[in-house]
Amino acid sequence: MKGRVLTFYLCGVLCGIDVSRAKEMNRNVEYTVVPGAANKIAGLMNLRGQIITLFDLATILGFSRLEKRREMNCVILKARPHDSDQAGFFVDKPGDVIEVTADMCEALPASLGDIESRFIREVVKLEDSILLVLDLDKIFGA
Amino acid sequence: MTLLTKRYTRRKMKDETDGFTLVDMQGEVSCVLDYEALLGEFVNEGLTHVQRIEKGLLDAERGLQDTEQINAVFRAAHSIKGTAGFFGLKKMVELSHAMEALLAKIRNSGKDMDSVTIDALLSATDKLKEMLENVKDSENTEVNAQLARLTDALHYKQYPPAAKKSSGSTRRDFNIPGNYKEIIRDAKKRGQQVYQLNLSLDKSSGQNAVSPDLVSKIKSIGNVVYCDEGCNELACLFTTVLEPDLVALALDVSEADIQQISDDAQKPEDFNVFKKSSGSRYSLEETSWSAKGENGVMAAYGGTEKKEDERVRVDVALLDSLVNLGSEIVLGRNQLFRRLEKYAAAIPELTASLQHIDRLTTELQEKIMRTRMQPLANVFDKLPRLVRDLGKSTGKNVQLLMEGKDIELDKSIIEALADPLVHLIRNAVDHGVETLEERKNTEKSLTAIISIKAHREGGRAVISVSDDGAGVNLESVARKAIQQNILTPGQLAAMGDKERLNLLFHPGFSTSKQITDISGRGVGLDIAKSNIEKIGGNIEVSSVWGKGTTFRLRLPLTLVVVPSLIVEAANQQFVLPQVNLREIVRITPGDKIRKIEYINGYRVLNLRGELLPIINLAECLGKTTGNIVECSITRVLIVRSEDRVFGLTVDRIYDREDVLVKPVPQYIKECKAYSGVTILGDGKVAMVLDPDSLAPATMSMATERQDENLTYIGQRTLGTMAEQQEFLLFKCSGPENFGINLPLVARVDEIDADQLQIIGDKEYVNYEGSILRILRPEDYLPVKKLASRRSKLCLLIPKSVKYPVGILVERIQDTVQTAVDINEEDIKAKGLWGSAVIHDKIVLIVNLYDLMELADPERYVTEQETGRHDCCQTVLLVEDTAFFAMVVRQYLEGAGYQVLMAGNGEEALNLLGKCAVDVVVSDISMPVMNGLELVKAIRSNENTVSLPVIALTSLASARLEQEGLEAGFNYYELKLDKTNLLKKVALALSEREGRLA
Repeated sequence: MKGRVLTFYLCGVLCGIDVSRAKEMNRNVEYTVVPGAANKIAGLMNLRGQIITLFDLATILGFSRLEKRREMNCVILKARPHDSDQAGFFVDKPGDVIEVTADMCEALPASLGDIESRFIREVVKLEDSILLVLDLDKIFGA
Repeated sequence: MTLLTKRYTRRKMKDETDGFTLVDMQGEVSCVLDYEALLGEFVNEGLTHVQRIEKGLLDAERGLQDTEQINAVFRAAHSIKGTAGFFGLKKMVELSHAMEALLAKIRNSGKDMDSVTIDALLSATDKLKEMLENVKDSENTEVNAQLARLTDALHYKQYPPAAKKSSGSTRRDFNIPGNYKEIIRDAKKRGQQVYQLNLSLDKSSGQNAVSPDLVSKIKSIGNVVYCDEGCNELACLFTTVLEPDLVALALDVSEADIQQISDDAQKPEDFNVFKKSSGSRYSLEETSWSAKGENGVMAAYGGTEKKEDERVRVDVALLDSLVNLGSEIVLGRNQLFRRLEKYAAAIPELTASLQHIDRLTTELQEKIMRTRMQPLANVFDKLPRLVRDLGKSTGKNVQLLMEGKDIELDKSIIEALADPLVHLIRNAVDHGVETLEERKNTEKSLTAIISIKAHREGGRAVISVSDDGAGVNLESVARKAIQQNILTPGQLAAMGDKERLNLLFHPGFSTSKQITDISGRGVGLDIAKSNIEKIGGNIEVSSVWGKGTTFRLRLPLTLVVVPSLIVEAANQQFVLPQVNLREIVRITPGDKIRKIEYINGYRVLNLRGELLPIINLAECLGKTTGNIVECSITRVLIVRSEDRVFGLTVDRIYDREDVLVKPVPQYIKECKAYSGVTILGDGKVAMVLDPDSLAPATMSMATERQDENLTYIGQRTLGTMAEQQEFLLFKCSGPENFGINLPLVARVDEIDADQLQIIGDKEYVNYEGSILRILRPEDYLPVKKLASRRSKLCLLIPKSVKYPVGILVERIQDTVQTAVDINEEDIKAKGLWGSAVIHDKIVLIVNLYDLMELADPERYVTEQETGRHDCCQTVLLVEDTAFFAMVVRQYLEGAGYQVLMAGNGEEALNLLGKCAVDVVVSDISMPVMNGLELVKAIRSNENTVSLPVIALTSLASARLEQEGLEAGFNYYELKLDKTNLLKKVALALSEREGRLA
């Protein structure tokens, strides 16, 4: 892909999403756990009167979490016309917005270990690290 | 339409006076006004007119035709024509003009419309509607068919002009100049129209009814041909380029007072062009005319339509945002209150201000919600047409009765209601109502009646849709369900009538013999049900064979704000809608009357004689919490779900709050425990609990030990559990009702009658690979025996019997859980425990073991003899379950023992102190003092230390047996194993005698 990518860390892995899909980033959010909901659902939060469903992206992607999530930072996604409900997800640490060009992208490696590779859109090689660009449609469409 | 033309006219008028030509003026109009928006408005208004036409025509068909009605239809058609012309929609003009022409003729003839005319008009109306809905494409729509039908209708029957119209206007005759035809022709040449203005001034309002400069006003828009100005009358003939409605506006008079005259006119009366008054002050005058009876038509019109004029059209989006803001303001108030609570004492008069705001907010909220309320008429009014068309296409005579049209519901509910209601009506006409021949045969009136009644019941609206048709054939429902693999025969056999009826709502279920294009595609009722449930309502069906079917819809009046109780469980707040809360019970430790008890490991609360199961919210949601601390004060919320009442314990109970319920996000839709989400006063998100789904989840725990094949409809309120018995109700070939204790039945299955094989004088069936002896209860009981007519029969397989048999019955009716007194005296026979009254019917309770003995006397005879004791030994039977007590007692008495009864360990000890007992037979699990405690007490008392005690249990387990024997029981026996029990009793007694000897 080409364009600007919003990056963040999830369990020590640098991930990113198309910045145009992000609505905003919130720190120290308060949220409500939904007993009985699937594991991937972290809970619900109130964003200025809107109910946002927060996902636990690490669980969805199959990352193993070494320690308990401490900071409550989350990325809220823009609602698109066909979405009936708004979604967001927790990140461990916000990163940057970086410009990605086509030549930086690489095909998905055959195996990413336990990581759910179907949710990874692309692997971007940065100077000092690897960035996994996530496929939001697959993650939230499912 | 009026709104539109008004706007247009204002602009036009201004331009006129400014001296623009018509062409210039239109040019300006098109650039000043947003064509698209105007067109949209036209469509909206046009659709309203179409609706009015439809209603008028249908009324006319039902014989309610009157001049007012026809005029209203006429005006509506005319309005469409007028504005369609403005937009250059020629086809629409053509069609509405043809309708208008036909209507004019009908009106002038003063006769009733025949069905050809009505059909032609209705089909044209449909076309108009179609064109309006697709206005951009309307020019390409084919209208010739409709036009031809209208023309046919026009000539089909002559509607000669009535000589004297009863309610027609009595207009003052003009002394029109003889050359008026010429004048008209001249005017036409110049593109002008000729009008006749006719005003009558009422004396009471005469001073301001006609502005003195009316004539000069006319001159400003055209030429006056003739004018006659009396003291309270004005008649004027003039020419102008303006359309009639514009003239009315220009002159500030009602359109009704203006008549357009065309050149081929014979009489001005033929061309009366009535148009809806634009709500001017003339409506007043019209009303006064009505009092004088001079112009009934217009007066009635002014009277009925005035109400409508008081309404304003508001954009739905604006209303919706208003509703949202209203809800937000309620939340804001709640927030404010929570935060300011602690300053109430510190700031003087804060409380008063808050209260004021509170009241205002509540009122504001209510009023805003009211704006969304719409009368049911919005949905109901579409139904007569539907019923008419369905009736025609199915060839049935159907009459529709409607009641409660004015009940108001939230807009979203009204909208969601439309489809299900239409479906129910279709169903009623198509499946419910019989064909004419069938009705003739059953001596019913040929005209079927479908009635839709709406009324308010508490905070809900109830709509019932009933037909007087054939009713639902349960047999065929059952057959279809099996054919379509919805159920297994076994499941079906265990179902009661009500459940079978509910199969109608099963997805994919259809009973109609053939699929018609009206309904019966097998999708529908289930969708109707889910649509109704989506908006928080429910639907029930009841049906009487031969009499008809009724669907009852219960709907909430509004959706959005719900008064609720905020509770806490697992450190989290939840919202419980107050509708579901019956009461809150405070239980203090040591209270003898109100306390939480344990029955079979389940917590129950005895509340005023009602035993309510208690569930813990946190546990229910899958969270673990510490046990309820029994020593502290507990509060139990008594929650009423759809069909059950239960107790709910939570960690904390907060205040009540009005919450704005939002739908559960799609991502967590699978959590059934919630009906919505809300934002609390503190800004936190909280889940709204759905008691209906909380209850079954926990209820199933209590019943899962039961046979899975059976569904239980317990009686709504649980009686005291000690006397609760579950019965399976069934019928044999005769009319008698039978019952059997459900715990004795292992399973129920359906078999085909031709599977039965007769060997000797006994019947057998190949059942799951082995040969099963069949018993028909009516062969052995003193009841009526009839030849079986059914091809499917039900087989009851009893539990824990020595020789397997199948009890063959005709039909399973129901399972009930009820506290009954079995009367052992009135109806007495071997094979029966007695009779009982269940659901107001006498039910014979079958003694399964007696029945088996009757059927196979040779097998049981020896056992009887070995078990017989003639000595008068006394057995103390300790058993809390009435049924088991009865069974075991009968065994023992049958064997010649004297039996003393005790309901629990404590009672048993009392009896032991008073009476001489030779052997004790005791249940293990009992209230107050259980069997283990009892036996320990017996062993610790030196008088009874050697008394034989036999444990009876329904649970077979080596560990339990070990425990029992260690506690001091001599023997451990399974309940209902008659032979072994008697053997053990005899053994225990002989051992005792041996010891004593």
